[in-house]
Amino acid sequence: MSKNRGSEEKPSYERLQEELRACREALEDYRARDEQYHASSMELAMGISECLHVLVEVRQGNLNAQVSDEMLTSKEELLSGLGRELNETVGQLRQQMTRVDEFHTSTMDLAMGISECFQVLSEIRKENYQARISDETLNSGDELMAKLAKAINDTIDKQVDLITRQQYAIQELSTPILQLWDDVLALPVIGVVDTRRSMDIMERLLSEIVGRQSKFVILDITGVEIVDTKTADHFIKLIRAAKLLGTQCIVTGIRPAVAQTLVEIGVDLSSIITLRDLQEGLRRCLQDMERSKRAAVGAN
Amino acid sequence: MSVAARIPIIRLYGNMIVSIQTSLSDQVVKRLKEDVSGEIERTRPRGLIIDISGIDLMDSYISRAIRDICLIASIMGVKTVLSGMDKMIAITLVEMGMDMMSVRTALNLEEALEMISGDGDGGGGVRE
Repeated sequence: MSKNRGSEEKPSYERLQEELRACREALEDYRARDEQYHASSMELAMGISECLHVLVEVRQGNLNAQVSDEMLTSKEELLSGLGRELNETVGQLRQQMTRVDEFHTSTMDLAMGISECFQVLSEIRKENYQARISDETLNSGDELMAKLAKAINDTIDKQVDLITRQQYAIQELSTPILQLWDDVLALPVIGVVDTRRSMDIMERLLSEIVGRQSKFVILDITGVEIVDTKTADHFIKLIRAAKLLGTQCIVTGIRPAVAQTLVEIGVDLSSIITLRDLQEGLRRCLQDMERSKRAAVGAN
Repeated sequence: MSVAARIPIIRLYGNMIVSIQTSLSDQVVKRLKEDVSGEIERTRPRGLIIDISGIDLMDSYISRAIRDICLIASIMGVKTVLSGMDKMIAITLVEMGMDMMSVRTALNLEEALEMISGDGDGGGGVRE
């Protein structure tokens, strides 16, 4: 060109026009390009603003926020790529949050279940043998929890069954009522006397007294090692009830430790005859019988 | 005022026997209390036996009234014995905490008679 310009020094009109056309064309071209740039930069700006909007939505907890289809199908590759990526990321985040939610729910279930287990166990310890883990926990979605609940319930069932059978056996074995002499019954008590057992003893003893019309009962507590206020109260009630029927009750075989406890806790035994051992008790009964017989003979 | 049923008071060898063979109402037992104390004053018996073998239910008022009759007779100088108490009543009285320790008791009427006629304390005797 410079060569051309060099060879043709003289600028001709045609040439000028040609140059002008070329310039005009270039200007048109520039203008078109400028428009195009303007449009694409606007689109970019809109896209970025939409992305920002979506991100804000996500941050506020709306995980369903999505970039619009318009943006995804945008001619600008950068923008459509960004949109796709953003959508995908939000999607993954949503999945993870769902998983976290599920995990949270199952953890809560587990915690509730375990707390119920503890509650039931503490009830059992308080001798409420009716306590069981609820069906809700037994059918819990969490397999481990359901298994644990079932295991605990099974164990309780087994133990309660065992306790019931043992109680029955103890009741049967523990307190025989013996006819020691004419008109003399003996009740050797062994072990611990709780409310249930004392009621059982009382009923059986009173039946026996009425049935045999015995005038004397010797309550032998050699086998009772521990006495507390409750036990003492049971014994006193037993003696009073027997006395109301018209039977004289004698307590024998009080252990030193038991005697100490009775005195220390201040049980009033003044209205009760207490003797050293069963032999002494029987001797006393025989003496009393002899005396009342003599008195009766004397009176007649 | 309606006439309440009366519990018969039987005299036997200088003793008085009150045999209750029916459930008592409040009125009847109140009347019995008056009758017994009046009769004691009139006939001056040696002993009094109240036989309650016919009662299988006793509320707190009735049991208190019967105890009162026993104590009234005792302080009037009559040897008093309560006989034939049902075992469930005995348990109930003990559980209620009714103080019957000052009342002498016997298993049956025969024994009660023995207790009155002898000087011996006998079964279930009072220790005061």
